[in-house]
Order: sequence, then C-alpha cells, then structure tokens
Amino acid sequence: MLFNSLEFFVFLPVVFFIYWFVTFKSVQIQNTYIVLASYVFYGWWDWRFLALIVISTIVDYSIATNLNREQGQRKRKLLLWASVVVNIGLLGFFKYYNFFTESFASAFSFFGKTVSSGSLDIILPVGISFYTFQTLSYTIDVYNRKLEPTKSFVGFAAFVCFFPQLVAGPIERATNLLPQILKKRKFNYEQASSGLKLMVWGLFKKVAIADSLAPMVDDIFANAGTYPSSTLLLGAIFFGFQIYGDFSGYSDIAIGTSKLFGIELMSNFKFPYFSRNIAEFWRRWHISLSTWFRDYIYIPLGGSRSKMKTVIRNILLVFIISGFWHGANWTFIVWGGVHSLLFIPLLIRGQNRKYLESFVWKGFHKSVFQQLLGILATFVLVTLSWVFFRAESLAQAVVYFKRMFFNMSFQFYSHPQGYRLIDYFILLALFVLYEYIIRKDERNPYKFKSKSVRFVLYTLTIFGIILFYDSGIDRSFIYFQF
Amino acid sequence: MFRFIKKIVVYVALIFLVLELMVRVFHLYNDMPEWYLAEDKTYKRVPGQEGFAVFGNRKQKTSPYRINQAGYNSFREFNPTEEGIEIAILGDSFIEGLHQDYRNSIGKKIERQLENLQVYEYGHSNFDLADQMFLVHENKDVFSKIDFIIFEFKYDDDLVRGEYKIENRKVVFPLLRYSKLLTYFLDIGMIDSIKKVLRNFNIGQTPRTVDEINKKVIFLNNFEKLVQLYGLDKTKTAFLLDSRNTHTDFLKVLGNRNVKIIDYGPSFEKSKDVPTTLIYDRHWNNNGREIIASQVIDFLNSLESNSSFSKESN
Repeated sequence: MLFNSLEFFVFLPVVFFIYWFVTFKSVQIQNTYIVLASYVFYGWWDWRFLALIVISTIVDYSIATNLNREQGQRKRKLLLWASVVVNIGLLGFFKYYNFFTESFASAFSFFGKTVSSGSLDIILPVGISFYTFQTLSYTIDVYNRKLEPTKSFVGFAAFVCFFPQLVAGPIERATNLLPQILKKRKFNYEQASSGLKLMVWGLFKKVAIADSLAPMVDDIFANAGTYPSSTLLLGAIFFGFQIYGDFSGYSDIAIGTSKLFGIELMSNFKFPYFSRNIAEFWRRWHISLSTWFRDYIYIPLGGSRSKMKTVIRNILLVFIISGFWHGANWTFIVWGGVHSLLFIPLLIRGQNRKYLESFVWKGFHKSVFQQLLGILATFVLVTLSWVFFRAESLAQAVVYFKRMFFNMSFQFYSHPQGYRLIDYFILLALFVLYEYIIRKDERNPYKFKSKSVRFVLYTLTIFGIILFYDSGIDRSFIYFQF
Repeated sequence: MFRFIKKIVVYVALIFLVLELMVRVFHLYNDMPEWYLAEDKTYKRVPGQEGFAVFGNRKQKTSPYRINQAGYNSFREFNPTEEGIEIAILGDSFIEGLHQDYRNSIGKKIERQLENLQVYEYGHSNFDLADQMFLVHENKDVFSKIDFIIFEFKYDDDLVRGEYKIENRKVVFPLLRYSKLLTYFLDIGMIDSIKKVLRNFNIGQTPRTVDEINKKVIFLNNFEKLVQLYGLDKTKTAFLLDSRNTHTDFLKVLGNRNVKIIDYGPSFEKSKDVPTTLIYDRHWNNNGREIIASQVIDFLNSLESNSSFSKESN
C-alpha cells in the first residue's frame, strides 16, 4: 500500500480511530492491533511475503532471548551468527542471488569460458533491506548487552513490522523504538498535530517535487546518448531533487504517521543539500542507514581509532557496502566507492567532523561566501555521483558522463509531454528557499508563530501538490526497490 | 482527541474554500459545454454555448469552443444543400475538438486549402461507430445532401457495440459539479482512483468493455451488424483511421467491401520527433490536426482526380 494512494487514505483514518477509540486500553491490545494493521498494510502489496517478516521476527526474538540467557561467549557468538546468516541469507537470496550468479557468469566469459548464469525469476520483497537491518540491529544490541531483550513477542513483532516505517524506513534502532512500543501510548494533541503537518509536507515533496520531475528524468536518462551536455546536466540535477523529494518525502510521511500513533521515529533527512562538505552530507542524508553502518560495521571494524590506513580501509568498505545495500548492481557499488573517495580527503585533512552540530549560516560564524562555495561544491559532487545511482548500468553511466563532459553543447530541453519547463524551475527555486527558511528543524516544517501564516502555508502546500500532480505516472517510491 | 478532530474538520473546510476561490480566480477548471438527448435519440451539446476548455493542472492550454445550432462544436452552422460541396466528418472527442480552438479545427484547416467546400464536424465525446452510423441513418434527409462522409474510427474503441442504444449518462453526485475545485480534480485525474472504486458499485459512467480474447470476432460481427442495420454507402464513405492500431482483418473487410480508407498512421509515424498529441492528453495537437487535415485533403483531391467525387461547383 502506498502512502500516496487512495487505499492508504482510507486505511489510515480507520486504523487511527480504532487505535485510539477501541484498542487504547492496554499496551498488549495496542501492539496486537499494530501487528494486525501492519500485516494488512504489507499484505496489500503481496501477502505471500508476510512469511518472511514472520520468519525474521521469530528467529530474532528467539535468538535474542537465548543470547540473554547464554553466558558462554562461544555459544553467544554462534547465536549471533545464526541471526546474521538467516537475515542476510534471506536478503542475499531475494536481492543478490541473480547479481552474483550473473557476475560469476560474466567473469567466466571474460576468460573465454561460457557458463550459464542460472539466474532465477525472483521478486524482491518490498522493504526486505529495511526490516532485515532493523531486526539485525536488535540482535546485535542484545549480543553487545546494550539492550535487554523484550519478553513480549507481540511487542517485538510490532517493532519489526510497524507499518509507517516497514517498507522504506527510517531503519529504527530497538533502543529508540522498542521502549516506546512496550509502553502504553496516550493520545497527545501536539504530537498528532505535528505528525499531520509533517505528512502534508512529505506529500508535497513526493507529489510536487519527485513525481513531477520523474518524466523528465526518465526521458533524459533513457535517451542520454542523444541529448547535449546541458540537458544531461539538467537531468542529473533534476534526479538529485527527485530522489531527495521521493525519499525524504516518504520519511516525513512515515515519521508523521508514527506521531499519529504516539510514536517518535528518528529523523532520516536534515536538509542534506545545504551540506558544506561530503561528510556533513552523510550526516544529513539517510541518517538511519548511515548511522546503522557506522554503529554496526564501521565501529566494530575499528572505527577512526585505528591507524590511518585501517581507517581508510574501513571507510572504503562501509561506503561500498552501503552502495551495495541499495541494489544488486555495479552502479550502486561504484556510487558508494565514489562517495568514499570524496570522503577520504576530508578524513585525512581532519575535516570530516567540521560541521558536526551547526547548521548552515548559524550566526555568521564563517564567511557566507565560504559556506556558499562549500554547499555548491558538495551539491555538484553529489549530483554527479547520482548519475551512477540512477543509471541502469555502468555502460549507461559512462555514456552519460562522456556526453556531459566531452560533448559540450547547449540546447533548450523540452519536456517529453511539452510541459512548461519554467514552472519546474520556479517550483525548485521556491522549494530550496523554503527549505532554507525551515532548515533549523526538519521535524517541524510549519514552525511559525502566526496562525495565519501557518494557514497560508498549509494552503499553498496543498495548492502546490494539486498544481504539479501528474495522473499519468508511476507513483511508487524509489526506495521501495531497495 | 476531539479537539484534534474538530481542528482537522475546520482546517479542511477552510482550505477547501480558499482553494475553491483560487481555482475560480485563476480559472484552472474546465468549462465543459452541457449535453442533452436530442430528438433523433443521440447526444448533442446544448446549442449556443460558448466558453473555454482548460487543459493541464497549470492551465497549460485553454481553447475556446462554440456550440452551433446543430449541437456540435464548430466554427460554422451546418446547412447542407444540393448545390454545394459538403463533407461530414463524424467522430468522438478527437473530432469534437474541445481541446482546440474551434476556429482552427481540422474542418477549418481543410476549408482553408480547398475552396468552395464546407466541412461539418459531427464530433461528440465518446461517440463510437454505432453512434456515428445511427446518426447518419436517423438524419437521412440531412446526410443525403452531404457529398462525402468520413467516419473517424479507432479500432479498439469503436466496434464494442453492434447496435445503437441510448446509453444512460450518469452524473456522479451532480451537486459536486457546483464546486470548481472538484471539477478541477476530475479534470486532472486526481480522483480517478475514487471513480474507479465507484464504478465497482455501478456508480458513474461505466466504460464500454469487450471480451479481449474474442475481441476480433466480436468486432467483425459488430461491424457487419451495424452495416446491416444502418447501411453504408461505399460510394460516399471513407474511414479515417490509423492502420498501425487497426487489425489487418478489419482492414481486409473494408477492402473487400470497397470502402475507402484515409490512413494517417504512416504520416504520424514519420512525425515521431514532433509530437502529434497534446499535453496531459492523448488528443491530437495542432501538428496532429495538420497531418489529419492534409491526409483528408489529399484523399479528397484523389477522389476528384478519379472523378468519383465531383460536383459542378467550380
């Protein structure tokens, strides 16, 4: 079920009212109801894959319970590996099986031997990368004794399948979400109201920004071999906004929906395009995933407290795995690799933690010009790297770059269906301006004192959604495929 | 909780009102001309209406329309005579042309090129071949004066029925039509999914459907039935169609009956780099209409040179 579908428009109020009017009496009833509603939400797409969620839930619940009981380190390690094997095994089979078999086959053919790839017709279950990582984090935390395992199976099941973040995150940590799930939720007006506002803003980012740019991005990438460099650059920039609008829009709707149910999810995006270097970008982009990799891969590998060589190796590894997490394609691996190469110079120069807590132009402590330059440079680098992320294959990405840099020419691009391009430039300019205004609080896009200003902004947001709504496009979220 | 619900209701109502106002002020909605069921048992537009049809969320296209006394969108009145040369083009919304300036329609384009000839565009949204042939049959006295009849034909849509019957037109929640915001939502497809659900409960206009597996047989049978019921004067009739989307067996049937074809498919194919359809819409744009007009002109010229179509007008 998509957040931007009619089904969800009916599903959400029904679930909301039953939750607060019928199942509010105890936390057990609330959680049982969350599990049921979440299974309906997920099963709406394909009920057969519910079995995977159930398997993942049972395995990690049992392993974590045993991990807590077990004192012997060897057995504990075995249990942890069992969880890793089951979770990564499921993910590996559904997501990476064909990639590996095909890569092996092409490697053999490179040496002149023909080997059948034996690829299977496998459907990728929606959200598998997200809930697998979420359940894994729970087991790892219990293994590291950072968390007491829960005794409530239903509570744990609700943690795994909580519908607002089940299919595309944020990838929650048990330390944040589980305690909230195990406590009875009470309706909070302020929380629910801020949730609704966040949902409206998320919907705007999805419908008005991401979906409206999609036909142009699709067209430019599909015909990269024929367009001039100016159009290819435009395509990369538009894709940058499309993917940001799509994914951060989804995250906002997920966080907003959770708020309606009395649960606070972690922030996933903090205006990443205002980042002043790549390191800051990664603290603001897909935060739940980058912190997951930091906590469960980078730090266990030694983090930044090792020799520089080891730290660089760790960074490379984390970025490449992060790229591979996105999809079984060399394009994602290269994308991750490119980001690691952009990150490493900052690390060597000790600038990776430069903009740790501040937000852009806070108190003018740095020259405006310097920060602006940093933002622009980061945006250009991130935008160019998106070409790898969006391309269907490395060959397509190479063609894209070749034409963009070695076939310099300018030509006015016209929308495949003839829409006015100027509308989109105005839309993006206003969007960036508004994001700048609200940059201090990603969870509160309408934080203005005046009621009338807020009302005008709600109305304009909805008006924007209507003006840029496109009935003829695929409205699913990009991150559903990961 | 009740404060929350109350506030949502108040805000939704207020935002609705402001949006309604904005849609009206910027005239984003479509002024669609009203229709009625005429004496000849076919649907027509109420004569004398003038307005603007608006297309696209952001008013990407506005086009004026004018409904003539015959009940069709046209720059001219339809007064066929024995003496003049009149061509009738019958069809659906593509011929009705509410998405174009009525002063620059296909008919007008043809008339600019061919002197002493009048083109009557009998287009009405959703008209299929049954509607078109029934219209000709019911208005024999008018069409007998018309020199040539062109049926605009789409294979997938036009042969679903083998007999004309009045299809009751249902307006879903007629009161909603008073809201320009909802009309606008309808126009831009924002409530398509709601319409789809309502159709499951038999609410709203149900699209004509056909058994996909036996489609070809059904279509050919329907064509035979229509010809039997309403007749088809092959000496003064042609089918305007796109051969790329028409089944070859149907083209053979037309060939066997010596029915003439105006095939715009190859010309549209050649024009692939320049779009032939509109923004937000699959109707022909100006380029598409130019191509159609030139195809019709070429066809009429060929008829004239073959002497199978002439009248002492020059």
